[in-house]
This record gives sequence, structure tokens and C-alpha cells, in this order.
Amino acid sequence: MPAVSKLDVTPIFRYFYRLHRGADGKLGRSDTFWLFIAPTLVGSATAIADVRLTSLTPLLSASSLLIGVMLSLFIFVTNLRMKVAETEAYAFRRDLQKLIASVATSALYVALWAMFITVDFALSAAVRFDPLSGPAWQRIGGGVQFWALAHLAVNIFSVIRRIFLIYHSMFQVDFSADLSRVEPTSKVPSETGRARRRAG
Amino acid sequence: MRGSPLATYGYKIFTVYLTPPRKPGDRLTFDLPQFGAEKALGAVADAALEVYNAGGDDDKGRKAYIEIDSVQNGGWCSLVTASGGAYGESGEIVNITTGQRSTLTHDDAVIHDARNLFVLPPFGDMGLLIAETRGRGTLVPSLLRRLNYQLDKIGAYLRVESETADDVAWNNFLNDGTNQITAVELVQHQRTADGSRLTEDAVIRGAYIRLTVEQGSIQGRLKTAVAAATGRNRQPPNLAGVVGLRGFTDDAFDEEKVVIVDGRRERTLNVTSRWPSFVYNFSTEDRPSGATDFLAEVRDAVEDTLDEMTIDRPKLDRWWPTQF
Repeated sequence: MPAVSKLDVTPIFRYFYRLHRGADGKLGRSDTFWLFIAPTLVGSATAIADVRLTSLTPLLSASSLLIGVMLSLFIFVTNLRMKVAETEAYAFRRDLQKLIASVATSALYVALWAMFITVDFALSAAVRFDPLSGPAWQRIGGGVQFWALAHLAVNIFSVIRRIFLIYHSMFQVDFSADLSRVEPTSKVPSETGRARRRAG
Repeated sequence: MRGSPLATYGYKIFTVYLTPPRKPGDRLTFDLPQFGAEKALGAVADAALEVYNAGGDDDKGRKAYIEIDSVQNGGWCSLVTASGGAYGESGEIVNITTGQRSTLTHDDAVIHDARNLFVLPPFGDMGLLIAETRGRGTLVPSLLRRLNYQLDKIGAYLRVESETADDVAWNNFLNDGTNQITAVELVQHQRTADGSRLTEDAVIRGAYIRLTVEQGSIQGRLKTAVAAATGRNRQPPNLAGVVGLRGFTDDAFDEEKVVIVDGRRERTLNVTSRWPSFVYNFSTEDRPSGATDFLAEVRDAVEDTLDEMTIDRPKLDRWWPTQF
């Protein structure tokens, strides 16, 4: 990607959605629903019902924790990707590699999103801006906050699901059934019937 | 070797998987440590070698004889060439050149050889079995019985299913522009299940309707019907509905057939009770003469099926034996 600006974070968003798109180049219906439509429902419901976040402090600390966790997850997953590239048994597993890439990108996406939410909370708590402090604006602001939180929650669940899938894809053998225990027999079993060998 | 006009040669693709002997629901991954360094492919190849050493045997349940002629391994594949055939019917053999006759008794089996290629990746729990066919039959049931007798000694059981690979095969076949559905045939015998008849006249003994189809028009609707028929439910397709024949349901016809032309050949598929399993044809008129030719013929279909099953593969020569 060209070095447009050192401060531009849009590549993370671009690659995140690119990895979510299916083979036909479009976002699947399930993905579209959970990533965009479900948060919209949550946001509009809270805006209509005038539900507000009362205390923002616990959310701020939870948010900072989340950002820290996601950044360490990114480092771990990058490390794993390097090992996968070096191991012969995994070097050709494209699907697994794409899965790892999607987790790495999602971790950064979640971290960025959590940062935006934190800044928004901090501003709404600390700053008073009269033209936007009417009750209607407050409802809309609340709805947007809940949209962002729902979107964040969906992505966190998705990341957790996919790090499990990475483990499963690499070590499916750990979840496999076991070979049936073989009873030792005193005599060597031979097949029923008369064994014939073709001459020559 | 010129094939007889009665037998058509081709191959079928099955999905294979391993389970503990009496637990069909639990799958065994191919890289279980107990399988050893060669993984599940090694276990299956060893079992085939044991069967080869044991010689021929008859499967009394199916009245079929089978023996393994050779086992060749390479990459992720094991080519098991077996010979088998049915017994139980008596007859006579006449040599058309010398006039010499010999008798065929109840205990004589006429056997033909068929190649069966196992493709088992060193990870995951699904592989493929490519079995040569004569007409629509393979040696797979008898072969699996012999192999499972050996695999039982290590506590595994080999199973096959054809739905997954059939789905891929039929979708590719119907989506290919050169394959056109040219006609639909509906046959009604005198008494039908739901009593509906094409004519009220009792003298009419039965009906045979052949609807010729404009090239390309019916493809979309038939694809949906196939998708439903080859899926988990295996619902038989309602051809009367697909061609727009009003007033008749699926039960009105005793036989429903689809005629497909694939450029050279016309295939008539009987889809009365379910969509048939897919038999691939060789690109040549005759069977491939050697193992190498057989491999070259089946490679594309194998790669397509593995892609659909999202089984990643390294560079071709690391997993596919280009020659034996």
C-alpha cells in the first residue's frame, strides 16, 4: 500500500473488510446482518427508548484494557504466522493463513474501534457544547454510542471464535475420536474362505 | 484394449473418512499419532498390502469375488488395482475364433480389473476415493470389506459417502456450457400412485411423453432441482413441475428421465426416486491403458473436488504422483 500518510488508519479498515468478503467479492448476508444491521437495531431501539449510559468511567477502563489485550493478541498472532510460514506442514495451508491474517487485522480493527469509542465517551463526559446538547441530540448521540458498542461486541465475539478456529485448523487431531482399543488375540486372525493367489 | 459396446468405462468420486469400528459418528483425523509416520494413508496402504498378500476372497453376502492386483503409493495417494466380479450364475463360454467351449458354473466368477485411487491428506478427516466403473458399478463395497477386515486390527473403519463429491460433480457438469439438457421424458404406466391419468380412456395402457427443450432455457430451474436433490435431504426432483406441466404432480409419473447431451454423448438419467450419482467419463473411448494415463485423466476432477472441500494442497508433485 502506498505510504499516503503516516497517520492514515484506513488501510486497516480496508483490509479488514476485504478479508471478510467471500469468493464473490461481496460481504455475506450473515456478516452484513451482524456487523451492521444488528447494531443499527440496537442503536435505534436505545435512541427511541432514550436509554443513556449513566456512568462512563467503568466503560473507559474496560475499553483501555481491551485495547491492550487486542494489541498483544496482534503480536501473538503475527508470531504464530511466522511459525506457520516456516513449518513445512503448514506452509501450503492457504485457508489457515488467511484465517490468521483475518484475526490479526480484526484485533487491530477492534483496538481502533475501542479507541474511537473511548474518545467519544471522554468528550461527551468532559465537554459541553451547547448547540448539540438539546434532548434530541442527546438521544441521537446515545444511539450512536450504542451502535458503536454493539458493533464492537460483534467483532470481539468474532475474534474469539476465529482464534479458536485457528487452533482447531492447526490441531484438529486433538479433537479427534480415538482408535478403538484392539483386543490382543492368542492366534493370528486369518481371513475367512479360501485365499487364492493368481498364478504368475 | 477395445472396450465392449455393452460396458461404458468411467469413474466415480467418493469422500472417504475413518471412524472407530462401531461408532459411525466419530471421525478420526488422518494425523492421529497412532497411525504412525505415514499417517492414515500409510495405514490404508498397509491394509491393502495385507489384502494383496492374503489373495482373493469371496464376499458371500454380495456373491462377489475380489482380489488386489497391486498397490502403488506416491505423495498423498495410493493406487489399489483390484480385480473382481460376481459369481452365482452358470453359463457357457464360447471362443468365437476357435469355437472352443467351456462351462461356467455357479462357483465361477468373471472378474475384471478396476483401479481405485485413495487420496488421503496428512491432516483433516476427509479424503477421496476415485473408483473406476464398468457401467455404473464399482468394486468399492467388496474392496472396503476386505480393507476394513485389516483396519479392524488397528481399531479403524473406512467409510465412504458420495453426496459431497456428487454435489460438486453435478454443479460443475450443469454449469458447463457444453452440457445441454435436450429433453425430459415422463413415463406413466397404467395405474399410477395418485390415480391421475393423462386420458380418461381405460383402453390407453400407458403414456410416454418426451418434451424437447430449447437449449439453455431449463438449466436454471433444473439446477435448483438438482441442488435440492443432491443435498442432505435427497428430495427427488419434481420434473413435471420444472417443465411446467400443469395439473400433474411428481406421483403421476412412474418414471422421470432427463436427457443431457455433453457434446459427444447423450446421457439419459433416471431421476424417478433420486438424482443419480455422477459417473465421470474418460476423455478417450477406451479405458486408460496404464496407471499413468488413469492419473492424468482423473486429476482435474480430483483437484476440483478438493478445492470445493477446501483442502489446501502444496505444489503438485508433492502430493500427486504424476506417474507410477
